[in-house]
Amino acid sequence: MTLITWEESVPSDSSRAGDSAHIRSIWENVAAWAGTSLQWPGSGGGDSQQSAGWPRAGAPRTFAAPASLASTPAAVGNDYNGRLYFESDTSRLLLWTASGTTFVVGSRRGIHGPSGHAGDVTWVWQEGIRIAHRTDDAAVGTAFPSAYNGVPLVLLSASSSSLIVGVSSVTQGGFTSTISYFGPGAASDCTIFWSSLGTMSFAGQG
Amino acid sequence: MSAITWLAAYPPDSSGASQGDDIIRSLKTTFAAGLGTSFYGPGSAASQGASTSSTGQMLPGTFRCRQALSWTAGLPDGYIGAGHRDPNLLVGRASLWHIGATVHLLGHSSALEHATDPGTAPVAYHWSVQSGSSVVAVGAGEPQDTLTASVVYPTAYAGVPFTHASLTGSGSNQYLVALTTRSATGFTSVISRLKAAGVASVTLQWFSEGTVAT
Repeated sequence: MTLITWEESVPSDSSRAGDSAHIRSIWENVAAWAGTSLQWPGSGGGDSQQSAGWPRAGAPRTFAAPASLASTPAAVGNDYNGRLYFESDTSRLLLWTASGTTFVVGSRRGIHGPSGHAGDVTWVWQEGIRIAHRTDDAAVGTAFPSAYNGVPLVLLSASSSSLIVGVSSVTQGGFTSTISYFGPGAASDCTIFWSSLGTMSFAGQG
Repeated sequence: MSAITWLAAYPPDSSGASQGDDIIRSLKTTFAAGLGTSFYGPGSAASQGASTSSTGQMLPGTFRCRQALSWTAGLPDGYIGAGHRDPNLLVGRASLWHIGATVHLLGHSSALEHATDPGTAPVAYHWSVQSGSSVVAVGAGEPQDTLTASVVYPTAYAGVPFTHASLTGSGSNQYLVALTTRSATGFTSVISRLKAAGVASVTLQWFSEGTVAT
């Protein structure tokens, strides 16, 4: 970073006409000013005409302030669209939109899935509740709200203390559970609490 | 932010030499006002909230994402784009992408996050889910027979994670699985057969969640 000499009151009305030093000063100081954050000829560092004006890598900044100020950004006019806001106390990254609505697009509390995927494939968690009518060894089918790319992991628990519910088969679109009665107590219907984890195309999600 | 008047055709060839100082001053103030919208700087730039102490650095909030409904590869590496279903980002889910030789989804507004931080600052951990499955031969035997199956996590956790396991496959409703020991590197489960008519094998599916060193 270079402190520049920027005196807007010169040349004055009484300055000598044709003093080209004033013009050269503008050229030099603009290069030093803009060259801090932009690729700019004359600012050093080997910048060229071909890249003149491009932001230097890492030069553009997000907003950075506590979450409490996220709804009242600094003076950016009415054009919020696409700007990013880093909440300095929660470490969340917000995306600003044209309407002023913000969306969380990153968080230090984010949960990393079992593996990474290229493109728009992401890990998706789905869960639900299924009422099952108890019949010994009965098969109960459950469809996922959105189908997975592959066969997901399915975990479940049942509400009854006299039944055991197992997962007999899983597909991209759903799973089948089977119920066994072991007692004690009277057999009754039960509620199955299930959750699933698998990959899905972002564009294909509801 | 203030509007600036950029007189690219000024001064005309017919201007008098005595106007030169006015023109130079106007050029300086206009340039500083324009640049001062996005950059720290002196003079008229400082009047917009910038300061001279960090001249040339970009102001907070100057980073803006490219906007599109969806993204495909083809830009030089390093571009960050915002994706959305609605051109005005009023509905649907917002998302953040790296667009370069390949396209990667970096984050989105429906991603899961844990209820607590993965550590105290400086945070050197992140929350991580791991999962897996293994076929366990249960074979023939009498009801109440048990066998042990151990699992090692692909990546060790920083502490003992939350782990959940269940059985899948035909006959999975005839067995109970219990987690008997848990550690940062794995767990041990015990599978008990409750009915005489068993099956050859069942599949043990597990899920774990905890913090891993970043």
